[in-house]
Amino acid sequence: MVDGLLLLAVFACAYTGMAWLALSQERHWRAVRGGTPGRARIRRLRLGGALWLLLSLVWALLRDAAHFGVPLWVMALVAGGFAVALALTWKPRCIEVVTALRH
Amino acid sequence: MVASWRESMRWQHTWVGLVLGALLFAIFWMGSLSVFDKEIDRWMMPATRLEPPESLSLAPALASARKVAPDASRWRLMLPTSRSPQMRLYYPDAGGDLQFVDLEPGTGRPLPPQGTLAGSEFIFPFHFSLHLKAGQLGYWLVGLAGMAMLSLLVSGLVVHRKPIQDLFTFRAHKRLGRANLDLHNLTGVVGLPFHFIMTLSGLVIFVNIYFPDAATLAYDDAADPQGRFIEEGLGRFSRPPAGEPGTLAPLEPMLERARAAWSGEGPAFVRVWHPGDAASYVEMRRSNQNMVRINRDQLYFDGGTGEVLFRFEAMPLMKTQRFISGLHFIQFDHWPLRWLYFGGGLSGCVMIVTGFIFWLQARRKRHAGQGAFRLVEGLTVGSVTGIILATLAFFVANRLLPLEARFAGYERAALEVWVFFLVWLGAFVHGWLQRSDAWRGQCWAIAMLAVAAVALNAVTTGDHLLKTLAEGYWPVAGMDLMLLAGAAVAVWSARRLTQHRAVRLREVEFG
Repeated sequence: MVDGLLLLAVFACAYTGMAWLALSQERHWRAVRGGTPGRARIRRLRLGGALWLLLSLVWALLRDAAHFGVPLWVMALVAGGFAVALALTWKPRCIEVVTALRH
Repeated sequence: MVASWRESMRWQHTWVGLVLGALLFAIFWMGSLSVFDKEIDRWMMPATRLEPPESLSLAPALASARKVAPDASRWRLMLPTSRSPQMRLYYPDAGGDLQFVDLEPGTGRPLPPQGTLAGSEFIFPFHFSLHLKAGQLGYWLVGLAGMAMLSLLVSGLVVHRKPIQDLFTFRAHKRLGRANLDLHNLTGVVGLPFHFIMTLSGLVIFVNIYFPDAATLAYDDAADPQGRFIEEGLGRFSRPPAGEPGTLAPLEPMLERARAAWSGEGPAFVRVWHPGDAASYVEMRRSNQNMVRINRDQLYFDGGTGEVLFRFEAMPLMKTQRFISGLHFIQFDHWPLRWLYFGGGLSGCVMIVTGFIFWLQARRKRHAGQGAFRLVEGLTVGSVTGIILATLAFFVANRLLPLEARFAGYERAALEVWVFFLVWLGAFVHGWLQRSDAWRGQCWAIAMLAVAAVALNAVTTGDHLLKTLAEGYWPVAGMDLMLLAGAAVAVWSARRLTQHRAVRLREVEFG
C-alpha cells in the first residue's frame, strides 16, 4: 500500500515537474495558457519544475533506497517527459491541471 | 568532403543509421521482449504454469538428475523463483552440448518436454547474439551496432540543433513528415537517458569479448593470464574427479550455510560437479533477485563432508562491472522498472522506424524509381513490421505444433525457429514486391496473428483471458493483454495507412 502510494508520488511529481518545465517554454505556454509568460514567471516555472523533479527523487529513494531508487527515478523522468509531450499534443487540459497553482 | 562539422554529423547520422538501422531495430525489439522473457516462457511452456513452491527441497530433484543424466560430469539446478516456478536441470550430454529438462519443484519429477526455446532461450539470446554462433559473429555485430548507436545518439543531438527547445514538441496534427520527425526527436531526446545507459551497459557486459586481450594486459606476468583473470575476477574453484565412487552429503545443510553467509538470501543455482565421484563438490551462486548487481558470490562445498572449500566475492572493479550489467539485465524483482524498461525499449523501436521513414520521405520524390531506394523501402518493411510478424508467427507456431512434432530431421524447438526465420524472410520479399503498400498488409497480418495467438492459447491450454484475469495469473494474462494491445495498434495503423493511401490516390487522379 505504502509502496504503491510512493510509486504514484514518484510518477506524479515527475510528470508535474516536466509539465512546469514545458510551460516555461513560450510555445507550450502560448498553446496552453495563451499570451506570453513573463520572464519572472519563466524563472519560477523552471525552479518549481526542478523542485518537483527533486521531490520525485526523494519519493523514489524513500521507496527503494539508492540502488533501485535512482534507476526508478531516471525512468520516471523519461516516462514523465513522454507523458507531458503527448498531453501537450492531445490533452492540454492534463497540463493545465498540474500547473494551475499560482506561479 | 563535407562542409562543416554539423554537416559531417548529419552525414554520419543518415548513413550509419541507414546501414545499421535494421540490425538496431532487431536488437531493440528483442531486448524489449527480453525483459519479459520468463513470462513468455510461461506462455509458451504451458506445463510450467505452476505455483512457486513454498519450501525448497533438493533431494527429489537430485534423484531425477541421477535418472536423467547419470553419466553427466555436472548438474546445474536452477532453483525456482517467483517468475520461474519450475526447477531447471542443465547437464552436458555425451557430445558436451548443454541440455536442459524442467522439473516440477515439489516432486522433482521431469515435466513433459515443451519442445520450445521460448523467451529465455530464443528471444533473449537473439537480443545479444543474433543466434550467429560461428566465431562469435553475432556478438561482434551487436557490439558494432551498440557502438554505432552511441555515435548516432551524439550525432543526432548535434544535427537536431534545438534539442532543449523542442524537447516536448510533437506536432501530430501537421503533415506526416513533420509529425514523423517530431516523433523521432521526441523518442530520441526524451528517451536519451534510457537509450544511452542501455547501449553503454550492453557493451560493458561483453567487455571480455570486445576486449579479448584485457586479461593479457592486466596479468602480463602470469603464466596463464586468462585463467588468472577468471580466478581473480570471476571466481573459480575446480578439482579433478578421484575416479572412485562416493556419496553426496545432504544439500540442505549447505543451503543453510549459504543463506547464513548471504544475509538470508538463497542461491540462484546449485551445481554438483563430478556427481557420484568421491571428489565431488557442490557450487552455489547467490541469487540476484534483491540487488541490481549480477553478483559473482560463490560458495563451494565438499560433496562428501559438506565442508566449505572455497568462498568468493568479486572485488570492487568487478562489482562495478556487474552492477552496470545488472542494470541492463534487470534480473531483479522490480515490476515498475520492468514495465518502464519495456516502454523505453519500445520507444527505441519507434525512434528507429521514424528515422527510416524520414530517410525514405526525404528521397521519395527524387529517387522513388531507383533500385537502391526500393531496396531500402523493402528493408525497412522487413526489419520493422517483418520481425514483429515473425515473432508472432513464432508464438502461433508454438501453440499449433503438436508436442511430438518433427519434420525433416528437425526437433520441434527448431521448427518454431524455422517458422520465425521463414516468415521474416517472407516479410522482406513482400516488402520488396509491394513496396510502401506492404506496411498496410503486414499491419493487418500482425493484428490477425496476435489475435490468433490469444485464441490458440485459450483453446490449447484452457487458460483463456477471463480465467487468468480472474485468477490473477499475470504471466499469461499479461502476455495475452499485450498481444491484444498490439493487435489494436496494428489495426489502427493499418486503417490510418488506408486513409493515407486513399488521399494519395485522389491526389494522383485529380491532382
